[in-house]
Amino acid sequence: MTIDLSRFNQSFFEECKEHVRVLEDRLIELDSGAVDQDLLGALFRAAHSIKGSSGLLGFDVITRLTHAMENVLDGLRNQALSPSPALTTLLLEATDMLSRLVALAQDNQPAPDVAPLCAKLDAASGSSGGHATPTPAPAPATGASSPGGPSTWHVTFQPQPEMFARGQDPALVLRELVDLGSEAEVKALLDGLPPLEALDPERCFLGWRVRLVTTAPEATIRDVFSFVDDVATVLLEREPDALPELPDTAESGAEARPAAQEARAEKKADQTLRVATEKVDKLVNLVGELVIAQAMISRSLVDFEPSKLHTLVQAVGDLERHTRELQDQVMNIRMVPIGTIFGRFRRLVRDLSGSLGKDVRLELVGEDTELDKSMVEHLADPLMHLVRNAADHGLETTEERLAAGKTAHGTITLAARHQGGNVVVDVSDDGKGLDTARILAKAIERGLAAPGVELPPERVHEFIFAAGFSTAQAVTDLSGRGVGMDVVKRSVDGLNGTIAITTTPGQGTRFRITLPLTLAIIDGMSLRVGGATFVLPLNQVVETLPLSTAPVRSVFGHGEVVLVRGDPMPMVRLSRVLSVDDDPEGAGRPLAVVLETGDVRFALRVDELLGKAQFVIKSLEPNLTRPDGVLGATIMGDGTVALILDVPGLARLGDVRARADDGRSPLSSRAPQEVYA
Amino acid sequence: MARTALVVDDSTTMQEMVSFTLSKAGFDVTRANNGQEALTRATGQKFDLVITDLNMPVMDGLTLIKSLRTLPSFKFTPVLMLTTEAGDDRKQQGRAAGATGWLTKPFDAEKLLAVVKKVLP
Repeated sequence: MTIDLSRFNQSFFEECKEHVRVLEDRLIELDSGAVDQDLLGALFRAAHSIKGSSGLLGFDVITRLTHAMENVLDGLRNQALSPSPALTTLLLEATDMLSRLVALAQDNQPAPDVAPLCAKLDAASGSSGGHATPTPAPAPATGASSPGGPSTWHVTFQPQPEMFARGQDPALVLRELVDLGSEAEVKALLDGLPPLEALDPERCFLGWRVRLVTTAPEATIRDVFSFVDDVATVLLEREPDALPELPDTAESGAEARPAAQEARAEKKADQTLRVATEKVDKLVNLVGELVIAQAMISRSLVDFEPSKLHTLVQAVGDLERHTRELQDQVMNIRMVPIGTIFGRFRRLVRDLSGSLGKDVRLELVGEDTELDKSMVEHLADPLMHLVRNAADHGLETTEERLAAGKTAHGTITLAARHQGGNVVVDVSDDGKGLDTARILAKAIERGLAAPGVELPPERVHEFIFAAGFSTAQAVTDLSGRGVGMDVVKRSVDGLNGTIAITTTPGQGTRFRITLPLTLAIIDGMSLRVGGATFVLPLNQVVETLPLSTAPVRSVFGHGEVVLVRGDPMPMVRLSRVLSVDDDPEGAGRPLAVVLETGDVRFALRVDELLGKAQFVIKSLEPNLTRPDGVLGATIMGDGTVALILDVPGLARLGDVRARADDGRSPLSSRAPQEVYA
Repeated sequence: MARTALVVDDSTTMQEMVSFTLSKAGFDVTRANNGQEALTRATGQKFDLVITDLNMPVMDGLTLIKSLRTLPSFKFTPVLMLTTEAGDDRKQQGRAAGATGWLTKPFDAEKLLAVVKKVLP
């Protein structure tokens, strides 16, 4: 029987990422001169741990690389090597490669050749590198305990008489051993016990034999005896597995299915989540409360009479409160501190500092602020753009700063905090600020704004979010930021968030991203089309207009358009894109809902607006492949199911980008007046 | 009555970290900067647990452990030594001197308490 170790891969990848983060965060400290054993120990341990696990799991290239890194770090730790910027750069390069190898391994992609990098590391550490690929730990011979199902072990533990004199207590060893198992039977071996008159109470004469049913691997069992293995005889025998299939089927049936359901919607990397025990404990407590509340209701329903109504009302009230708390806590499980991505910015800023020749410092505030795990990951790229732009374009050169009477070093601050039901992330710099006049000039040049129209500065600044507003060459001579700002805006939109700019000439710029705490609940607008109810994410709704005031025209080559204050805008009907029948023409009072996604605006024809509310998104993926144009489903207050519409998907289905006049963005016809309402 | 521990290390940082963790776990902690100081504090006293570094000035950990084992009140006391990964030889010497177990540096609070749990009820 071979053991499939690949089931450990996911946790290995997670572990690797944590160690890579340690390496990225702390290697930089080598440069600061504050080198201590703690730092070197932590770095060494990070490489060492990955090496160990990768060897066991057969990721040989990762093993090879981490081994070479470990040698360098060990040299630093033993002071055989001394830290230098070049060495730090080499180790950072290796960390990058390591991070890439992990990502590739996760996607089952072949690993690139690491030999040149390893050679550099080996040269730095002065090791030959010939023996650098350690033999992977041999697979335990008789198929050590399969992690899925428990195995039965017979453990014989025979201490030597002088064990007590070392401060050892066999009872503690036995307890630790028994705690490993789901079932244990301990038998004392009395053979060595002398008659009472010869018994020396300071010596140990007993031995034990334990039958243990456990899922723990052999190494863990051996570890129990690590302190006593020189003063005791320990024998481990494993009973052959009688029922190897049973645990297997139980696992694929009971465990794999819900996991698959939940995980399918997420990317691979999100499949596991480390949760603090404390959070789980809270959940368990709440479920307890819930059970009690439910019991109280059941009890008050037995011999119920109208005079007891208030007791019932109170019990239902309790149930409601606990349910709400439980909902909050379950949401809380997905919350991780934003600091997990902040760390990588230290590295980014260090690299940028070097390549731009500016002295840039990074300040991090509120790293403990928690938000939904998937949000944290999707937030990394936009923040990366913002930080890079701040360093590249926001901050002046050292000479310019000194000339302006500022500190020689520029500071970029990443700050996160909770505000109401939102998370606010600020990326600010103390640079020169946005040049409003030049942005406006650029906007006019690109036909985004009409010349001669007075626009408040905030409106002008928002032009930098327009697609392709500043291409690389446009940015370098513009005061500004711009590379990928439309991408930033789109990512933040995708997280149901908003982004706002505050800038003061000569003093700096702040980008403020405001995000909901979780993606699982959205603010939405419910509406009716024909006989069906739908929900639209409210943050993508710009305005609604009765079709009686906004005439619909068919324009050759553009399909149906609706005239919004005289300007044509592509109109999408759900009857076309999702085959949902509208009310017949002429019946009722249909409306156009103006929607915005990225830089495109279009109108959706609906028959009736029903109201605004918060909706819990239920994923469709467990049962269906997700249809384009539908984000998910939700259950309405009356128990009926409504589909949540996906605005970018509708735009794609309705082909609105091509239908917008002459391929110019609809933004071009009007300044974005209500965009950020 | 709170359990008592004697923490011996010449590094203040290490001393503080171990002491802090142990006091959080309910121990009454006495500290010493080297083996000699530890022996002075140990005389006429009883401790439930001793944690000592090995490399220390004045009197090193191995000498301390050997000396403690000669005191009647320390005959069966659990003694943990702090070792480094590369210190396999030292570990053997420590066991021969009478150490109950060891704790490999660097360690965190969790690991420290886990090891304490191995030797103390």
